[in-house]
Amino acid sequence: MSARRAGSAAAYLFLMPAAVLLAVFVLFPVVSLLVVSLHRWNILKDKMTFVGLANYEALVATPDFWRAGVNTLYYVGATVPLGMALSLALALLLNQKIRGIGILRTLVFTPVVTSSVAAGIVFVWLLAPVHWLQNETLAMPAVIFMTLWKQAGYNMVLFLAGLQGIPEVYYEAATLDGAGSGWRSFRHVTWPLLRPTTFFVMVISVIQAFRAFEPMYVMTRGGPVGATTTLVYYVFDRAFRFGDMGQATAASVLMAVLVLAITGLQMRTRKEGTR
Amino acid sequence: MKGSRAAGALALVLTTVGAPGCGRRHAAGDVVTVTFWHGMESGVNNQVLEAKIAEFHGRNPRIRIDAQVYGAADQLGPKLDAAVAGRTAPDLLWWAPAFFPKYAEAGVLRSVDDFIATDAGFRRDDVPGFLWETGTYGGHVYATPFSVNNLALYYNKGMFASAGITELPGDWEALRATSRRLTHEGVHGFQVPIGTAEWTVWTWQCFLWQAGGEILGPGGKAAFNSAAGVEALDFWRSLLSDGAASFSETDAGYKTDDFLAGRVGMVINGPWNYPLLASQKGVDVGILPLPRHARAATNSGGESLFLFKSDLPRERAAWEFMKFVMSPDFQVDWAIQSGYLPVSAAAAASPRYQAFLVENPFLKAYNDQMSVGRVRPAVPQYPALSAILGKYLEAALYGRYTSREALDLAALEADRLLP
Repeated sequence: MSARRAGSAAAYLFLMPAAVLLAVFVLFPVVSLLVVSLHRWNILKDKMTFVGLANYEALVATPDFWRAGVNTLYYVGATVPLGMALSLALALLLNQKIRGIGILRTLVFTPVVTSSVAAGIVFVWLLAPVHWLQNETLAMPAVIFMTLWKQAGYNMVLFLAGLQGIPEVYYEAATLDGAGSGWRSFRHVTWPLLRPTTFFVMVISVIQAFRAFEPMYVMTRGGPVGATTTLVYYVFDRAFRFGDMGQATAASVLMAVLVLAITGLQMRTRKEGTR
Repeated sequence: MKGSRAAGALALVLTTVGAPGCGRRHAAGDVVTVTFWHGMESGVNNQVLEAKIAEFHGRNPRIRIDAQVYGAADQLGPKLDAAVAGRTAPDLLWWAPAFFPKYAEAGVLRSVDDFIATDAGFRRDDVPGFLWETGTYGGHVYATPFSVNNLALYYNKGMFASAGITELPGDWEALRATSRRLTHEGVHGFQVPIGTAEWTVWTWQCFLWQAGGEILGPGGKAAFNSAAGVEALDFWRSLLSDGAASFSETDAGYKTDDFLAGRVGMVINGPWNYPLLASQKGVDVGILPLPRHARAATNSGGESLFLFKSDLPRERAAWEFMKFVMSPDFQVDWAIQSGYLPVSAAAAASPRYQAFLVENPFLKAYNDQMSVGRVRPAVPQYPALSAILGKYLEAALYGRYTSREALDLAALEADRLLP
């Protein structure tokens, strides 16, 4: 055996744990998801019946599915920009050399390390007397509010890191050029130089928002009357309450396509932006 | 050098991949461990259960009951389905009998027929016939009763007194009038359970029956979209539109928070909160049978033990526990301490339990209602039927559909699943 071959054998062996884990926990589920979406299947039994594209056809003919799609866009469309604005504002406020800044930052960060389920239950109690969660119009804003409260601290830390990476000399130069230290210096120095951070925060916020499940599960169970049923929740409900694995997996496939498309769009705007 | 690097990599792979396999549990000696899942959320009831299990261990040193709490019973479906599909179902499961036929039909439950037939020490006729029926599917018994309950009306005595109400409501119209009188700033007379889960469905079924309706017809198809069904749903809707009722927390109509905080005067609930209510000082709780309309009716629920297939020693050990649970000894202690109603006729008739009822009118009211108790249909489609009905009941309560439209749509969807 040549030394080179032995070396590459060793390399493959070192790669194997990761490769096996990826295959078992990523590749296999993705493929089996596609397979199940073409079948009718009761998970209590082993037998699957092939139905072709019937699950997809039934799904696109279901108003509840489209409603879940619209709800998802509502949730993503609200939590991402509002969450980014809030966390950037917090980062700007807390990017100062004042006494007790560590304590303030910790306070804003605390919700991030709180369990979503515990936080959700506390919100249920807080909102019980006013019945927001039982109101079709207010339930989604309540869920969005809890998400913002919970996530602002995390994005704030990312923005803080971005802000501290901006060299002081730019601000000095801007002051000399007469930009002052307020809005104009933010507009012409901070915002452009923070761009990589902003993009990163946007991408992860969008992904997080699409996969959000706990707030709806704990606070509203997708209700009332489906007002907070997002695509992820719809998939869960179809699969585990109605026992309809076929339609649930078909819905996940369609959702994956949507997320891919949106991520692709983001990457394109990013490329155009840096050109 | 090269060889040792490859060996190192191999060792790494083996430890990573091999590790999960090492976790297999071995039975210690000849002790058989029976995994028992239950959803008793109250701390008091858990203590009582633990004490009774310890007593069982004392009598059966070769059996160990490994009791695990699965959380809210209304949310068990997804967890259990995943466990069954993943081959990690428990040996014994404590859940409402309405849910067992789905698993019996799927072939994952084990019938106890042979145990009943061959166990000389077991007296089948001590458990009332209707309870055996709730555990029977396709002519075989898969689930044995643990406890029974039904639904009645809690009312806030203090609130009734300050509103000057002396006559307690006994029918729908009186319930409506009383709810209106109790309603004022921030307080509602009655609470309508909301959400799409089983709690909404099984409380509504009481009103369906009271109006003279049925869930399924003689042919096994949906029958809840009858005139009686429309009347029952309209009644709830009118209480809401009057402003005399508020919604419960979503999918949590069983929670007593609003009632104990004085935000509602009357709620539908069961006997199992007895220890909790006894330990609180804030509200003087009164109890009423559910209001009657065309007839009196309540939904008789409770929990049974489902036996899952494993191997004979474990199944036999599990049967010993099922038998222990049905014994008058267990039932009297359990009923007195937890508030659940006994499933054993001997336990119910025992002087100790009868004396207890005299001192506890709260539980006596539930016992008295057993005679008008009805049960949910034992069909494998029940969980899906409940999910469908829940969805449309909620939509109607939010005014998305009329009662007639909602029930017809639900019946249409349900009939597609029903044989």
